[in-house]
Amino acid sequence: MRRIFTSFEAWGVLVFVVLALVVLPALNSLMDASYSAGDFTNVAGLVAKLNTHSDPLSEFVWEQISPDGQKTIADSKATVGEQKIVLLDTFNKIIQTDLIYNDARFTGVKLSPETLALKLQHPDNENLKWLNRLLMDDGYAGDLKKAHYMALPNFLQVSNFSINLYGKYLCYAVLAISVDILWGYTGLLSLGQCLFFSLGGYMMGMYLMRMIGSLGQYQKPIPDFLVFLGWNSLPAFWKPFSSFPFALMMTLLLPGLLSLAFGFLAFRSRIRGVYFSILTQALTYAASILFLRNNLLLGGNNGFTDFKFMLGHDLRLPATQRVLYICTALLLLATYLLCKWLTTTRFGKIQRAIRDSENRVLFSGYSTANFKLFIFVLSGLIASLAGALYVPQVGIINPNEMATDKSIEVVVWVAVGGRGTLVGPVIGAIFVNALRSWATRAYPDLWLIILGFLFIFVVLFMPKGIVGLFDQVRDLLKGKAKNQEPPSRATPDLVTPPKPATSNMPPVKS
Amino acid sequence: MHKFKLIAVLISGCLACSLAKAAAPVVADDDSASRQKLVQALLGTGDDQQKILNDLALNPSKIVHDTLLSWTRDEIYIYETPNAGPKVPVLLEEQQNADGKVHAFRVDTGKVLVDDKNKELLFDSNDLNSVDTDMRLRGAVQQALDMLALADPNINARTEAVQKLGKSQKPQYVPILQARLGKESISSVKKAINIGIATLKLGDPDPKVKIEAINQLSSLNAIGDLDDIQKIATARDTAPEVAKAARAAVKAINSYISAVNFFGTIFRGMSSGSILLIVALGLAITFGLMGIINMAHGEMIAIGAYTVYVVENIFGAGFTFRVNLPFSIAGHVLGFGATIPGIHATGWLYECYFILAIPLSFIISATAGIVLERAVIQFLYRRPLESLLATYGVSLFMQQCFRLVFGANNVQVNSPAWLSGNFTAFDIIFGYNRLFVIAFAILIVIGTWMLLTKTPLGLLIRAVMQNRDMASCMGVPTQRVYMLTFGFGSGLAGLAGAFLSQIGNVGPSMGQTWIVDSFMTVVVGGVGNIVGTIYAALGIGTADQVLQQIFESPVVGKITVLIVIILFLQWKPGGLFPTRSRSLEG
Repeated sequence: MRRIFTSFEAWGVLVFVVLALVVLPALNSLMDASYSAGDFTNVAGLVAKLNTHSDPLSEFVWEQISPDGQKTIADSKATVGEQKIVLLDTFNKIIQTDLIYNDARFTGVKLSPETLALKLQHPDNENLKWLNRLLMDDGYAGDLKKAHYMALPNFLQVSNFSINLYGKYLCYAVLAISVDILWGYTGLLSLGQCLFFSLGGYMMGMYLMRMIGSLGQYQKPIPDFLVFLGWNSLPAFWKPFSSFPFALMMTLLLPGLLSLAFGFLAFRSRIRGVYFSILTQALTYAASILFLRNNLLLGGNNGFTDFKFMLGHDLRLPATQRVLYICTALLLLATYLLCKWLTTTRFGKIQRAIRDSENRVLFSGYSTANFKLFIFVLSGLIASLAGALYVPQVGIINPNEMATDKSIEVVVWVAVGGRGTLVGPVIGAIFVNALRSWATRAYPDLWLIILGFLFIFVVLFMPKGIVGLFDQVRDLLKGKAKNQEPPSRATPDLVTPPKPATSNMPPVKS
Repeated sequence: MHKFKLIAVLISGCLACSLAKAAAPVVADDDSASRQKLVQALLGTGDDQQKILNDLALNPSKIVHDTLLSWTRDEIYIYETPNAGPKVPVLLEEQQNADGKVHAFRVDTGKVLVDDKNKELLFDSNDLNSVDTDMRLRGAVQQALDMLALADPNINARTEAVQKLGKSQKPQYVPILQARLGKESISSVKKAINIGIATLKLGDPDPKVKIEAINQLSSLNAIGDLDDIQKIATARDTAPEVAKAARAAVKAINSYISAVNFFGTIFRGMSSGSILLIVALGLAITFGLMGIINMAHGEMIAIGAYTVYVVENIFGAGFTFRVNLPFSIAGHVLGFGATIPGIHATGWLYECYFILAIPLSFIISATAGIVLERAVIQFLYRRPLESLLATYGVSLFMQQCFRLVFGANNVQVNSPAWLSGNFTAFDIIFGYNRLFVIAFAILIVIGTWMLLTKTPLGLLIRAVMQNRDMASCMGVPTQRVYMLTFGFGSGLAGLAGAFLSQIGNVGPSMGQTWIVDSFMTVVVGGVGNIVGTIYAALGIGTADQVLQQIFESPVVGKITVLIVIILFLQWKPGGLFPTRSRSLEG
């Protein structure tokens, strides 16, 4: 069986799967104090208590319910499902505010030892949410499933913000891989991958905009920006986007067709090297100024934002974000495995041959344009999927994502991580973005200077990136060590012929 | 030489204007007949008043003009002589005396108003009422003024007056305009008068007169009357032959307008192509001659523009900046800054700042380019893609430096007076700054050509470009040649920036708007070929303007240009003038 991974890489994949796919989401869900639908075991009882709101706690809860919600709770003909949604919203809203405990409200409520212990600690932030949750659970002991609080040490706490951030980083990592399979493996520097990333994001964004329904600013069933532009009904091309499979298909179809058309034209006329890069830059520039126009009906310069629901789940709930994070990690894993496998096939060999010397590959009879086209389309599709998962996590997509400087930044991530490898782009993307998150908080004025220096430094001094850093340092040390060795005695002189190396060739019959 | 002539003209013009300014209302002692008439008009009513005003309008004199002007501004007051005496129209003095009172000057004599005991009368500002004027009267006085303006010595004032009267739709002005036609000597004003007469005749009920007027307007290419003629052509109650003449006239004027637009577009295309050329030439040299993709080229442009800004400030109030680093030692914030005092120049010295700024921007950008080359680029010669990344890093770094030193907002650079304004020929507007940029581009191209062909450095540059290693073997100091070439290319970018500061915004990211366009120009022209860059720049500039006219939207025009370029490169991947080389890798 062909060996796809070295043992080092295999261990790396395993560590990633365990850490990113299992540990982090689990830690986050342990920290998550929010209610989910399954926590409401006795909806009828809760509804009854709230309708009468005779005890102080129920009175408090009743006040927190929105007027529409109060109507639903009071309505005897409302279904359990509808009432559950109202309760879910309200209870989650309650625990997120300040501490709900006061003696008057909680008279007659027996607090569990866990609750009392946590109360004594005067917690804040996430732990305050937990306290509120435990208090509510105690208040409605029979009707809610009790949650258990696990006190985690600080370094094990994975907040919802962190999970969201990691999800974003992993999307960037997938984008970086898409650039790397073009640049590191085929020698095509594309400065326009962000275009496909954004197109995927826009397709998914259109679906998410449709899912807002009538909950927007103008309370109309069409997106807010269309109302603002004076539209009364949905334009024709927006209509099919209310179905998720269609949106998913468009995420693959639109960038795929665009990359197919552009790649076909470019590779057929043997546009190479620098020209290709400049052309991709021009393409993404043209697209970014096109998408800024309002009459394209794609949000103009504000883009799409304010998403609420996806596939029926509320995007603002931590549980949904967790699932999106897991999906992104799975996408990264799948992309990595696919590309890794691709590099071990004959296709991969030809790819690397094209990178090293396209002319020889041409002379050997291969139609390099087709290979390049395939890789170009594949990387466009990968970038587009990354964009589609990026948008629900970040919550906004606008034409800035297509800007030329974003695309060049992706190339820098790959360069920093190490191009020509598959792990390199992942490391580079995560490293540079983590650096940016830190620097824009600590030294916002200096961040671009730091980034600029990073570019220059990596290009001049670290051609193999972080992945190659180990080798580079080792070679450096070896070189130093070599200089310090005394000259070897056995210097070959010009008279004695060198000893021939043993060869595998059969002895020549003389 | 020409610059100094222009400045001398400006100086004399300014002096003349200052001498001609009057301080107080001029009271002339002659024209007593006109004065009496004015008093009659001021005190008259109804038709009488109208008639007197018409008479006054036909006798242009300064006193009539000034008094009527004061009338429209409510500056003529009525003094009622006590004991039911005559009403005397007066003008009030501007200068108040120590008590806040003013003298009054009689309109009929121009002398100070005195009471029956010959004592000068003094008034408070609220003592007297101004002459009663209603809307109709005001209109009549204004018209009298307009008719007087027909004889104004200033050409522009006369033309404006003619146009006003022409659009007034009052046929009684036709003989007045015709009378003026006889006395007029300037051809542009004559044309305006003819157009005015014909416009007035458009309202005549007689179809023959109408047709004659329409034909007259059509032959004079009166663009301003197009709407009126259009209305006549489409109105339901016009006679058929009038409508036919009107339609023909509309067609003729429209074709004139499209010819004007066409040439105007060509001119604007030449000028925007020249801007693109100046910007792209530096890039063509560094990219074409050296194979270096310099993404920091835009920042060299910005350096040139900021140099002009600093020079302008030095000529004015001085320039200071302070950069605070986010570190501090012992509570003292680290940072650096500088103050350059200004010389507070005014007048023509201040207008000269631009002439000094141009060579200075060249020098400073060239120095920046040389520094960049020594520090970063010299390690990246055979690696074009890496040079792209490294120079992009430099560009980010420089943009942030601009933000820290000059602020993140755009800065204001004032154009010198001799660059603002325009002149119109055949209804096409030729802006001075556009003409300047075309001349500038021609100068730069000639300068570059001379550098490359007539100087020893140019010879070395061409040699190194053709074959670096061979030239190095022949003893050419290639390192130094590359350094100077890069410096020259960056200097050109600085010149482009100096010029862009006059026509566009100057801000930290101004370079980014030009990078993609300049790369496109260089690639379309053929890398390594200066002539190709020239053609490409002019072509792209003109195509941009033409498409902008056709699509009526700059963005769609720009996108179309980009798509056309992409398709063009399919057909000719090497550009207009591809460098022929025997190497297989091109």
